[in-house]
Amino acid sequence: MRRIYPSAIAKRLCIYPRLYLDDVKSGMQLTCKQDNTKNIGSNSIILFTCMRNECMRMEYFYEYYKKLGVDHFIIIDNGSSDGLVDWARRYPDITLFYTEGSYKKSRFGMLWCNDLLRRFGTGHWCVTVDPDEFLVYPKSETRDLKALTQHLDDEKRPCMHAVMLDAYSDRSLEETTLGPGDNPFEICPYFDRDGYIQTEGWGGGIWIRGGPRLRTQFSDAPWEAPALNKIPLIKWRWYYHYNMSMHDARPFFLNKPHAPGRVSITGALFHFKMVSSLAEKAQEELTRGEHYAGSREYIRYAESRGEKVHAEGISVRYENSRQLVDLGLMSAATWF
Amino acid sequence: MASKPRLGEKANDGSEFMKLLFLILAHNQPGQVAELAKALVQSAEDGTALIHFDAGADDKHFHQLEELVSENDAIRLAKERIRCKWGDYSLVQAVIDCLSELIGNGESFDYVLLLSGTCLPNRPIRQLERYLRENYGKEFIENADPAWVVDGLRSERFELYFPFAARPESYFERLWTKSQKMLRIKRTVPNGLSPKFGSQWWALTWETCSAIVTYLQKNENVTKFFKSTYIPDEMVFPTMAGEVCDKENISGFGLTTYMFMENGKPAIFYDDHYEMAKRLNRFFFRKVSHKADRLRKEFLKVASLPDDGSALDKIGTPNSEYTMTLTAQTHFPVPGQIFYRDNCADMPEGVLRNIRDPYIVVFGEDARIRQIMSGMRSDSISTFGRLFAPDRVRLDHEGEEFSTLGLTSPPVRDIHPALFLARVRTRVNGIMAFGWAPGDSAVICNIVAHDPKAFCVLSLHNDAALFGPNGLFPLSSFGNPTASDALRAFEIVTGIAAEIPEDRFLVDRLSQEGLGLAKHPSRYWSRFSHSNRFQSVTDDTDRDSPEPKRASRELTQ
Repeated sequence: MRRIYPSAIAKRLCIYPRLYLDDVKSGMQLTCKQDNTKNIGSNSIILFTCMRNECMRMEYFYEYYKKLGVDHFIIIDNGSSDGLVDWARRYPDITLFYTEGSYKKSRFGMLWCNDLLRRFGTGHWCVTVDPDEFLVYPKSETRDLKALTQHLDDEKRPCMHAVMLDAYSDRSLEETTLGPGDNPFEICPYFDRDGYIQTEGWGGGIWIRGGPRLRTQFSDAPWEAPALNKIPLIKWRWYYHYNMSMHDARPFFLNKPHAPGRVSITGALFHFKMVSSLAEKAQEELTRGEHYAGSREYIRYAESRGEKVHAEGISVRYENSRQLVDLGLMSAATWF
Repeated sequence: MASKPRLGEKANDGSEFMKLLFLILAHNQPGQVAELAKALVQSAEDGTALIHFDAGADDKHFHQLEELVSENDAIRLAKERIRCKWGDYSLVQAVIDCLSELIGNGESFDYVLLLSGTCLPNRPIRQLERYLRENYGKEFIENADPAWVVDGLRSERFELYFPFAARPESYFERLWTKSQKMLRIKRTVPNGLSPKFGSQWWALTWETCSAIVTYLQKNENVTKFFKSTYIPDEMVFPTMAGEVCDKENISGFGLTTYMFMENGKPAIFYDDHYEMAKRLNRFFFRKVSHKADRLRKEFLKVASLPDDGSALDKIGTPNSEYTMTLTAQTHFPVPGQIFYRDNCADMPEGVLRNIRDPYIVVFGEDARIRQIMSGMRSDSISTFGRLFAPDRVRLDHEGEEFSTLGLTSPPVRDIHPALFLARVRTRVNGIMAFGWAPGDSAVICNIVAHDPKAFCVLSLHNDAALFGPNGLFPLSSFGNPTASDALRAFEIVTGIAAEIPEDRFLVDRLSQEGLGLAKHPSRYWSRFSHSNRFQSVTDDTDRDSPEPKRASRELTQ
């Protein structure tokens, strides 16, 4: 029989007060610019996102998630200078927080998110995504997030995992421009149909690498390629914490994509990073140095100089959620 | 009590129309309930809808419903509304109150159909009327033994006391059940009734309904008994129907399709279930999401259609589509499905299992692989070099089209060899063949040895450096290797116990003429065709090319 050492349990539990203090400390950097939290109902689904100069994406982002069934948006603005505050003023379901604190020191925005998730998200189903990520799940065309969360509640699942699919166009990076309000699904309709490498991850979870970023930029060092596994949907409790971005979380059971011995539903996150603004962003981020592992991802982007990512035989045009299920990128599991 | 009509004979106050009562239990979405009731009443020859709107629901909703149905005389609202709770006697009480109200008014119908606000018709109401006319006098209700309950409490439901609404899987309820069992409590059923189980959603004749209501009014002790059973709404009517009706009149199925998921929650229908709902072998189905607007619109339209005269002999047979869909979704993943089950990392078996085409692996020395490959190359076989060579991925002839796919990078390949192999295989037409020489990735040997779709060719060379007593393949009978020798050699090289069955294993022995397999690929084929595992593949190739047939003739000579 496996022996459980009290010291091991203590060690695991001891980290929580520290995480809590970290979150609260980082959360103190946030100032509320627009407070609509009174509009949050008891069953509301809340979306959390942290961004810097991404206002041009917001219009479609807001529409997309509104249609999917998100009731309230909580946005953390990390020193944007593109009029996000003015844009958000029109909406009674957006709460805006502003900070000029260091993105790196708040563990790439995660500590801010954790703090707000604890304050406003406890007891709610929370979607936590980046502004360039769009959630898709089996049958998402006909069923909204309310139906999905109802199913997850029935299955007693605390979360839903998703694989991040980097989307791109069939033109070169420089020619792929995303204007304000544009539908990124039309501008970047392609994704890699396979080549997603799944290995053991942190905290009993799964680590997935692959997609066009591994294929074009990290093929000589795939272990350095960015992780593609995410947990975008969690029914938040006050002691939960995201660890590295949304890739993994504490307690460790959140890192398991499936209920033990069963198959659970998983989704996909379309990631529209590969557009022309990436080049500028890469340059900016290189000087700021606020990103993960010395911004090595952005160093590679700056080096790649906008090569064409699209390749015959691996790139597929996105049609509907059924296609992703057939390709094995997500699973409808027991959701009938 | 009115005299009971005989089966198949409609005899009710002389009218030739089917007089239906749709008894609808609802607690929210007044708009949709009104819509449903209107559609049912309008499509029926002589239909009445009686809606019981939960007393616990929002008053605003009730007034809204009152307004919506006020113009329609055929739709009535229950006067005496009670507060219903799931798994409680109140659900039964609501139905009985509604029925006794009608009995008090001296009304009478042919059939009473119990529906909920989340039910939808999936066939024309005219068809339902024809079906009821043809089967007049039948009671469409389930009448099953305690085994009908899939999981959890069965006969305990009526043997123990449950004076409160059911709360499945709660700690309190478990404690309550356990303590009663410890005290050896076993209630006796009053009046010698035999408890039966079945869905709450039934269709009964008016005679039966009024008989049940009268029975319950006369026998207070029965009502009292059912009030403290577990989920009485699945028990009262089946039990009572069994008591007041003839056995042969009870059909054993209802007219509403309902499905439960594994976790005990009812399956919910959405817009994407349209095609499936059309094929259901009942007249109604539940439970429909209130967001499924398209489904609602389509099926309310279907309800008002005229009867197309289609055969109704399938009504009541269960549909297996639901189980099939769920089994497919949970047990048969597509090749290399990510996040599959509780694997921490995807296993080679998981990645390779669903690619159906077999493939060939040639084990041997580099030059020898090349010879064999050139002999084997044909329309049906795509040949590759040493895919798992340490320095680079040797795609050889098929190389060009794979170069852009990120398949040529050794680090990417080595991080997950099985996935790499699966990716190449899904892009190959016909059968894939690749080589493996000593020094290549040992991981893939393990994978191949355990993959039932891999056909292994061991090409052994009469080379002392390779096969001598000190060589890489130390063979016992030098110069004339046997299958067991080869297997042992394979075992040593790969460091695994090769459990390859006979039928997917071939030793290429060198004959006096020189190159055995390389010169006569046909011999390889004949061996291949004897293997049952690949019979279908070889059948196809036989038809396409005459080569293998000639070869087997050669061999028999």
